[in-house]
Amino acid sequence: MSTAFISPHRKKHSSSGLRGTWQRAVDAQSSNEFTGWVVFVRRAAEKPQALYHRSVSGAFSERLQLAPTPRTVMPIPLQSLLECDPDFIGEAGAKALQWLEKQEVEHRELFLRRLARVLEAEIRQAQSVSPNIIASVEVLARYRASAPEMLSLLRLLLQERPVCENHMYMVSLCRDIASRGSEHAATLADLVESVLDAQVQSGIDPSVEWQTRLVVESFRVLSHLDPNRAAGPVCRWLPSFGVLEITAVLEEVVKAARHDDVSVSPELCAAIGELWDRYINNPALANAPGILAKLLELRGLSGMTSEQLIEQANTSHSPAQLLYLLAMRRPPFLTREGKLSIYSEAIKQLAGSNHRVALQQVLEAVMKDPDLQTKDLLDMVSHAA
Amino acid sequence: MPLQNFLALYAAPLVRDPAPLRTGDVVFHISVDAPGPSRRWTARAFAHAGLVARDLADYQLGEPVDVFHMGRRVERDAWFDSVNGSRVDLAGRLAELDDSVRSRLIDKALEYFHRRPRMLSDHRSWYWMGEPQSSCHPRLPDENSAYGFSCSTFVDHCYSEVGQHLVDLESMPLTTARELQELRAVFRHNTQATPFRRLYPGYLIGAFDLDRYPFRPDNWDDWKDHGRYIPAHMLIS
Repeated sequence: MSTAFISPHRKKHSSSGLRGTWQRAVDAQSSNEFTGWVVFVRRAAEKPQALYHRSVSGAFSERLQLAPTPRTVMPIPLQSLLECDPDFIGEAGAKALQWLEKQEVEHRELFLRRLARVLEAEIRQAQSVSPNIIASVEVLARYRASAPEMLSLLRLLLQERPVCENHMYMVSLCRDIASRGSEHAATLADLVESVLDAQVQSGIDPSVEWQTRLVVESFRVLSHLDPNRAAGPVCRWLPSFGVLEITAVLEEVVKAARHDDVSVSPELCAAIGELWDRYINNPALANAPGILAKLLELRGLSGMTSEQLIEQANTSHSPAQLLYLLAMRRPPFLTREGKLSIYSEAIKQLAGSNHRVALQQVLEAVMKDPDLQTKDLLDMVSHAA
Repeated sequence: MPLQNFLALYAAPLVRDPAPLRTGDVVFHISVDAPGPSRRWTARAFAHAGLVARDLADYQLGEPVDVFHMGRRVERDAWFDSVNGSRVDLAGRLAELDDSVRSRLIDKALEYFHRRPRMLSDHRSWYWMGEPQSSCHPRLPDENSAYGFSCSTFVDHCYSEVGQHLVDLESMPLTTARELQELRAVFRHNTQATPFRRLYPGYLIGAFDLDRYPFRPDNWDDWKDHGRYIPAHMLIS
């Protein structure tokens, strides 16, 4: 049996001493000779019975339950992150990252592999995952985003039910692990979609901030991993979202639908129709014009001509406002002729509504558009007059 | 009127006209209710500024107003409580700002509202008392979707994004060593270490008060104090 021992009476210890302990534990483990260890627990005063363990088996197994994973042999900055008060996670995380940055590459890799093992063990054992563990996973992802253990950790965390605040952070991490077309993109997109489905089915409470943020983040990640998914059947949930999250979600759906190889799904078309009716009939809802402008662009991306878009805008409470917002988004799907008719109509409507600042901005946008010429601008102005 | 003073309207209710708040108006919280039965106010040490999130037909002092503002992050809150939260005491309106540009202004504010979730940075304030940062935060070098604003630089940034410049930022004076020390005592690490051009909420209030944009007074110091907008007979100093 190989043992590493630090006296529990040593109240002050150097980080090199602990690092040595940790290193001996790792060395012993890697050479398959490791059957037990003695660990020094910094919080000896609070939990004297957990002061040290002499073996991982036999008579000391009860004591071992107080320290179910060997997190105490982790380097102090990583251990602090795992154990600190959640209010200080930001500071502890910054210190852990700074500390890791100072380590030699080989040592850092060792520490991070160790951290991954500790995290996996803790996540498997824990009834609920603490914010400290989530923060540690984020630290791990900074350096080992492409490592297989990251996928395994994310899978464990994202499959956990019921969906909770932790999912929001883990969904967000998927963006760092994979990108469009990469090996794990489809797997992660599946996981994100299943989290979103579960959350929407159990209901989204607009007063619970993490739930609305989870919705937005899920669409951002889907758009990043696979734009076809962001504009696909998952859009059936769009009408379930409230005014705060729908703006950001629609922005992501528009971004996804702007890709040449992405087609607008029937579910998205149906959702656009439902949302359009809701916001056109309730112009007082927060950011209703901004939302309608995004819906208008989605309608354009789904094949509506510029004339049809103008017709749609004219059914709104303020067509000038809507056409201005659409023009300022510079929708890429419009042909030169399409742009001409949208800009012309926007200029005409804004001049008629006396929206002078908006009119000036549209004229500036026309001047900067490489597809249009000065002659076009003169035509538009004379059309408006 | 470019600047509506609801404290003054409250103090003289007989001359009160309906005062609607419009989406994108800049609102300020400058006073705190003093304890005691008679309603009096003291000036807040730091005024707070935000953007009205949606129209309100007829506002009276203390009614809830939906506001986007920079707290620890860009947040959306109901302002109605002068003691434990915020309240709309003053409202500034750019007369020429039409409905179209107002809606784009709120669309811009919402871009900052939906930040990326990160456990490591969610527990830290993104408030920044220094030169405004629209795509990073000096204390969060690893966070690629961060920003750093104070309440007034956030408001000013949203306006400048839609082509409206409320204050001439380049002409503002640099903070003195003493001011920096005072700011650091309050905002601690979220304060820029080197002198910077601090956008006081008082400058924004001054812009609306004088209806002059971009605001560039002869003496900037005269406009730092927002307490001057509390009616003298209602003020407890």
